[in-house]
Amino acid sequence: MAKRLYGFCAGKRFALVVSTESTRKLGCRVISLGGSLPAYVGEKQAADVRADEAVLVLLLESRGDEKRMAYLYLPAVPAVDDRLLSMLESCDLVLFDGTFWTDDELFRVQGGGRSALEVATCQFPAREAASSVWQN
Amino acid sequence: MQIKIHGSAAGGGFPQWNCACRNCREIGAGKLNSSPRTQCQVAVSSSHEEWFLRNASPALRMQIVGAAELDSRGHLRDLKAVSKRGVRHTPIVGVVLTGGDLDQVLGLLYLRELEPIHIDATASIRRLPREQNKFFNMLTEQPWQSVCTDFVPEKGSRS
Repeated sequence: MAKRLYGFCAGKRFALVVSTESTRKLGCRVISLGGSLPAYVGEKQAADVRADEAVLVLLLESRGDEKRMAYLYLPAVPAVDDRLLSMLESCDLVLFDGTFWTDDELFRVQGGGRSALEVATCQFPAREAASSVWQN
Repeated sequence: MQIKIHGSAAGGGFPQWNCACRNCREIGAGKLNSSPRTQCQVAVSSSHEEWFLRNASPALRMQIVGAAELDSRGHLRDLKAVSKRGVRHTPIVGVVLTGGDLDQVLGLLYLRELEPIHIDATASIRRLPREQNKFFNMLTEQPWQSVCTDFVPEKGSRS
């Protein structure tokens, strides 16, 4: 197995590099957005894990290039706030995974399930605030 | 930095197998100017030789064999390359998990073919699949098979 060259530092940026063949490095920041645990997690186990580790955002930066390139991957977004908007503004590329148009969409379509916020995905009006960042 | 989106649909894919909404109907009938999509899957690389997956979707096997940069056959085109790297080789060196939802972890089971792989996650996310489902023990069938590294996320404003 390739050997990881750079270790992890708690709460700080680290590099995604595993082999000496890579000359360029990807700086990686992992940021907690809060949110909820997966639906399959029972109450007993939920008490034993950290909910603030449930929904994470990845911010990747190319390093070693002349120009910094930043990419933000948001697989789920419980809410859009000022800090998130600031991160969005600092990035060259944003992948924003949003599924729902309304908070009760699953209830209405399939008669049950969790709300959008319960699966840590804000509905469309909040995403409009985020989309305005790059529209401007 | 190279980023490739191998899937961009929600958990049910698009079209979803039990959905007859307008989009799902029209994509099936060829009336929608779009294409079917598998579950969300992103890969990033700094070298084109090594790729990190962002999560592991339930459609991961299909997504790998459909992408030359992720598929072993794309990297082992001739006997010389096979001789150098061996028959078993993958350009996928690691998976970074951003959550423990099924759509983010089920694809790990496709990476179980005794292929060494790094799995980076928070301690909580790493524990959830294994403690809930013993199938995931196949990722540690051999002690060298999976190297799991726990990271601690920065605090967001809501956490």
